[in-house]
Amino acid sequence: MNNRLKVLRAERDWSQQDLADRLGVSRQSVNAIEKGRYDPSLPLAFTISETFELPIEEIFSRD
Amino acid sequence: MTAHMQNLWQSPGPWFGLATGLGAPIIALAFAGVLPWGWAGALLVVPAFLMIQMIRTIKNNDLPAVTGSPAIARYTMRMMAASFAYVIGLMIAIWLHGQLPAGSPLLYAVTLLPTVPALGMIWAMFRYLLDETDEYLRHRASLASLIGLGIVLCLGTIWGFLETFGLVPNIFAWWVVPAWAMGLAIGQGILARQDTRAGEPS
Repeated sequence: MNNRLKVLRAERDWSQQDLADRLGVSRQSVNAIEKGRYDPSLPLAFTISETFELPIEEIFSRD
Repeated sequence: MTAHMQNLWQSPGPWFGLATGLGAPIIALAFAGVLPWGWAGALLVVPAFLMIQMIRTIKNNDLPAVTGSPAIARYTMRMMAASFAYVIGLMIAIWLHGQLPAGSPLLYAVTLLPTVPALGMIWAMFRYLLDETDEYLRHRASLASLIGLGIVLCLGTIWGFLETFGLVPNIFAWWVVPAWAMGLAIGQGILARQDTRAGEPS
């Protein structure tokens, strides 16, 4: 799955740690999701969507 | 050395993995009769030094902050306590088993003494998987534990066949827990390396 986490973070000037703190997960989790090495669960995907105030499909897309 | 690698060696995990990975085979070889107990005692100085390094990292750091997860901090403390109890239990069993009458209940109790912390290590891993709220860390720990299990199954199968045909000496079955702990450390190392290769914090 592809995602726009890095771009969305950059637009808000957030580091991986900043985003991790907002999501309540580890920085490793943000890094793994951002690099496409780990697909988040549905609850975490919804939390990410709420954090960026964007629909899930504007953050994640199929390969 | 990258900042990530420096941070890694400031945490107790790698020291614990190295100490367990070196100490367990030394004890296993001594039990198998391949290594005399005198030599084993002398070689165990190295894992003991690594354990001291591990304790120093704990003293120098706030463990939950270093490990990145309170659940990992609790797991690390449980595994360290179990490892320490395992070594003590093993030493007591070795020391007392020849002095007790054969077949006595006390002999059974003393012989089973090291199994309590060994089972405690398995419980600690299970408990960690329940406690960890970070889904990626939980996923990574599950993978590392499967790598550890895979290593035990591979080693056990290969050694078992070699032993059946008389090519290697007999090794007691209790080696599975130290071998699993060693495999777990290897698995965690492989996954941590993948994290490092995927990029440093930005």
